Amino acid sequence: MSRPLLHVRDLTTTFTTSRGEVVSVDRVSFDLERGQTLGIVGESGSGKSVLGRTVMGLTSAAPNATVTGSVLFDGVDIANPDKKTRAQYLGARIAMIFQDPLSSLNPVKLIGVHITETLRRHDKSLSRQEARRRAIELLDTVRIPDPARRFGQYPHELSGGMRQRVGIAIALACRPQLLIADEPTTALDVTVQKHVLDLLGMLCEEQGMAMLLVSHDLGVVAGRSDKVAVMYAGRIQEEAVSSDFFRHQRHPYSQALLDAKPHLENPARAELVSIPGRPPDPAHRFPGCRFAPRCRFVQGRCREEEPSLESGGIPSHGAACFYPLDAVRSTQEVSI
Amino acid sequence: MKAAAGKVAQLLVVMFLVSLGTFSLTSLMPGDPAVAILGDNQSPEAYAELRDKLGLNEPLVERYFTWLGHVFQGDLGTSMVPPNEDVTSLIGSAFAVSIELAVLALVVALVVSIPLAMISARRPDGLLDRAASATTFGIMSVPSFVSGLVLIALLVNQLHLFPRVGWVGVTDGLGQNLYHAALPVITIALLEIPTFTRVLRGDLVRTLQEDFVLSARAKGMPAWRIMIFDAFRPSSYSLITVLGLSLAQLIGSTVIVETLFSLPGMGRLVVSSASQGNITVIQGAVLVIAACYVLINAGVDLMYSVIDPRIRRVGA
Amino acid sequence: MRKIRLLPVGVAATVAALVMMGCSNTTAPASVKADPLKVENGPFGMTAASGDPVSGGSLTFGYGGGIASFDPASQQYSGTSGGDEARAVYGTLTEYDTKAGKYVPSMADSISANDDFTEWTVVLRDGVEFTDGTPYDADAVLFNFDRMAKSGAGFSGLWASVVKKAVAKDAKTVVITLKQKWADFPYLLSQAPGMIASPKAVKDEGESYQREPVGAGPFMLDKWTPGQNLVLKANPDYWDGKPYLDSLTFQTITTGDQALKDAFQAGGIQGSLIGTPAIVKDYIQPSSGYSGYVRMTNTGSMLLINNGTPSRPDTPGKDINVREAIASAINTDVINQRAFDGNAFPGTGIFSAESQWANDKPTFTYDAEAAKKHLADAKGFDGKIELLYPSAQAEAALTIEAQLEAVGFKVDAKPVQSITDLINAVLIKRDYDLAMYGWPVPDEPGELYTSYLERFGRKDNQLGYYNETIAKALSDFAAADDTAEKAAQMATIQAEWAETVPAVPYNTTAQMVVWNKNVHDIEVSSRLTLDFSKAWISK
Repeated sequence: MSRPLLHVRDLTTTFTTSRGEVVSVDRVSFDLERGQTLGIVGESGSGKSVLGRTVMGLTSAAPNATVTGSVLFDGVDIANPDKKTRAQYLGARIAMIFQDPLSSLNPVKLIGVHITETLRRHDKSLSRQEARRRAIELLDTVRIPDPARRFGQYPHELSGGMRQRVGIAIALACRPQLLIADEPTTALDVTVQKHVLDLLGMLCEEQGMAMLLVSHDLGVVAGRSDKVAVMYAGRIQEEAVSSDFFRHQRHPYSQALLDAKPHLENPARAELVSIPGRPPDPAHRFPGCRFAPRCRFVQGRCREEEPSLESGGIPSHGAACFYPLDAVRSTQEVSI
Repeated sequence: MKAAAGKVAQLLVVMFLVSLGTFSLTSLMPGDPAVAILGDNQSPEAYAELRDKLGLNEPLVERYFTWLGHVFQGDLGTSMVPPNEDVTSLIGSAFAVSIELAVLALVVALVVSIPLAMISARRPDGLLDRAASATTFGIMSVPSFVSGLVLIALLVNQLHLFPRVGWVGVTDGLGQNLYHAALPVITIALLEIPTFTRVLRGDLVRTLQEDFVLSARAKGMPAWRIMIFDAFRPSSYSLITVLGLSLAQLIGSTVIVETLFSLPGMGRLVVSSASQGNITVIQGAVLVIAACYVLINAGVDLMYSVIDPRIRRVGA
Repeated sequence: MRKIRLLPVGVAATVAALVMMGCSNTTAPASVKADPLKVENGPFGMTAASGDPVSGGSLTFGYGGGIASFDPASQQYSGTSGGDEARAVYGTLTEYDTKAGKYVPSMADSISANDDFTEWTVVLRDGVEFTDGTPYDADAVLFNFDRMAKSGAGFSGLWASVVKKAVAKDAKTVVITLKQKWADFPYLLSQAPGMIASPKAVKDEGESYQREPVGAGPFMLDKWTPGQNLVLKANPDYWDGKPYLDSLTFQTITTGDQALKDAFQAGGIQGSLIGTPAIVKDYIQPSSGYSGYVRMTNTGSMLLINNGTPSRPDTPGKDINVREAIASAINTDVINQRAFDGNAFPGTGIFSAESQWANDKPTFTYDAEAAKKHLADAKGFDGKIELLYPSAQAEAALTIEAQLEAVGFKVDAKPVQSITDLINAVLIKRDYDLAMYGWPVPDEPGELYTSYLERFGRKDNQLGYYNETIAKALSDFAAADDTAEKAAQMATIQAEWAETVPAVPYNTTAQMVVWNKNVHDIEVSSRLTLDFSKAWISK
């Protein structure tokens, strides 16, 4: 059996803040196969972005962060990478696309330099001219018109969509095996979002890249991922093959999320108003299921014991719920 | 082009106002060229006669416009006090000293402050940051004449590393020039290092939280490279501002350090001229200092647009 | 808002600084414990050099001031202000032999007077030339005398009041006829009037002559950056032989005596002139390892009293009772302790205790009761009096103010930011009641006579004081060649001074030239000017 490209086990990210210990990512485990796309969905504050950055090995550098568990990338643990590993993997074999293409590009650096410095960082033998040629080629790959001219422009001279294409071009520069896309379209105009997402999907397919597509928006993930994982309060609550998931959600939270699916017109980071209450404060943990205070179907056990993905009972469609929706429905049917 | 014309107009207006202001304040200044020239052993009539000869008894307005007329012909006049040198050459040599001191001191200050700020910003509130902060705070609270005297006691009187006083021009050999400039430069630099370090550290800490720094790390860039090639430039606005401010100030007012080390710079020229009531020299010096302020100000504006392409558009 | 407009604040600050700036270079009292070391006039630490003089090397002297102009016609040089530099370039016709206590010829071959000292004959040396090759002859000397007399500056005033005429008897001989008997007339020729500039250079160069002098002295100008340093090089054709030193540098050090001392120790300078009592005391310690010369000056610090000048005819000091009250109220020992940490040289006589003219005539003594009594006798005086003082001497001023108030004066003490302003108020406008002032006068008869003549020996002076007895004693002092006779005249002046109280001396000051022990044969002349023509440095 071939090992998965990304094998994450019990990944936990804890930040020490003035308010105490904040566990942003809590014992998360998942696998991602080569060339596949895993959509990670959750509200803001669910820990999905931190998860993306932790997998990338970016959080462990923060002085107040502790990362435990393992992230095996092609068999190598990169959860707490040393300098050498970081230099070898980051930007080269794993790349990342950020949410805000304006703020994630250095305002005082030329578009082209963003790309060439990545290229030259990971291929020391690359000449300046060759790097430039490759960068222009990459800009062309991400469908930026007139790439040679754009090469010599500054980020503020480009439109939002163009900037995100630049972000993608940077990420693709070294032909990574894994792309982590953190809300790649949230900051973009509605009409541009689809173009960028389609481009991403196409490039993944062309280059055989695996992708971790992080979004608050199920609409973004739907149809563009092989698997979906739903995060809530730092934990994965449900994980399934996309087709299964969109056909039938087993966790009450997932269902509420799908019901509340923000339409493309909705502003970014829209509150999921249809679910009463707010996500729990990560600095104040309580026993039992994390969704319990907001769950319509909460029962006694839910407040005492914390469910795991296995609690749902169906291994191929994990749900961290003692009473997954199929079961709830049946008990309700029974009681009527 | 239009912007440049604006700058020139601003320069002229400022210089005019400053010269008018200085001239009208000369009556308040201490010093009397007649006393400076004759000493304290002449009859009152001799002083009166000399004052008349120097034109000091003519109305202020008249004297100002006479002076201004000469300035427009490129003639700053001669010093009123012996040896009656050409004001232009007096200021020229003093300015050369001041600008060298100022620029060297700022370079030294930057060479120390930039790495220090980067080390501090790397781990805010970390051990190195706190140590640097305590040190710079300590240095900041020491006036230049005290730090100068401490340096003299240590480096001159004890270790005999540097000369105590005096100046050797660059034309008389770069080595000797730097040897004589070293101690005053260090004294001035010490004064600037804390400000530079703190300003840059603060901006670096802020910049390091920007997304583009994270994205640079995601590209596998090492921390030192990010600090230098990503964070430094966008963090240097305040530093440039302070730098310009310091440069402008240092040109006219390193008088304490100049006096401490007996250096013939602008500060000492102005002070000694003022004590002698040597108006022609004061006027010339003030004009040059005012012009420096305007030019440095323009230079700082220019630097902003060099650093930040976003404000590079014309008319912005 | 990251952008800051630099301009208005900066310029305003510069202008404001100009206005507020005072400039007085007085050194703050050093906090050194009083030590009983006695300071005496004359040389100290000079060790006889082993072996013969050696040629070569350069000597650097550090000074607080430095020469302003090389035109001797308009200058009153002294050891503190350009005298050494000008003397090195020009030499002087005569010089004061400090050991013998008399004036002797220097650039001149001889100088002699008629019996009553009213006619003086100066004979020049053969074959002396200026460094531009023109002859150093009687015409050149007369040309310089004439220029100086007409300059309206420098010694012109004194020259005009003393000299009737000067004529050339032959190419080498100048005869000077005086308006009065003056046995110490050669003093004038040891000063700027005795510095002879090349007439050709003066005519050719015009205004710039003061920067590019040509003389016939032991050294000639190499390079001069005014206010910075002056480099002189040896004159190979000097009449008395090329100087041993290759070059002589005068370095301007504006930071005060402590900086001079530092520079000394750091090796940047090998000689200097210092006046801060504590430092003087340091250097003359036999263990200091330096050589030099100390000159105690009489009436170094004075409390000037306006005795009634045209600008202030009703000043309190017009009343002898007020002046006596002031003299009795001042306690110089207290001023010394409070303001100078006991390092100064207090005294109320017009001669210091070490002076060759010191005598047994009464000086002022502190007596608060007497002061109060005198004040009560001053009819119609409300006790209000104004005191001008240089802001750098605030400590001494405060002490004097307190002493005057203790006996009933109401003192309005006014600091003056710059010495020029003080000179303006006291010497030129003569518009003051009381002023703290410096009148340093050495024992040397020529300078002593001219100084005291200017200050109180003539009518219409800065004190508004005139006394026939004193005027006559001064002129008899000048006319006498005999030291005992001169001393008697000075005793008369001291007695009359104590009687009439024109002003109150409170401190003698010391001036010191000091140089490294390996520097030899620097000669000290009038006004503490130095002669480097035979100076040499032992290896």
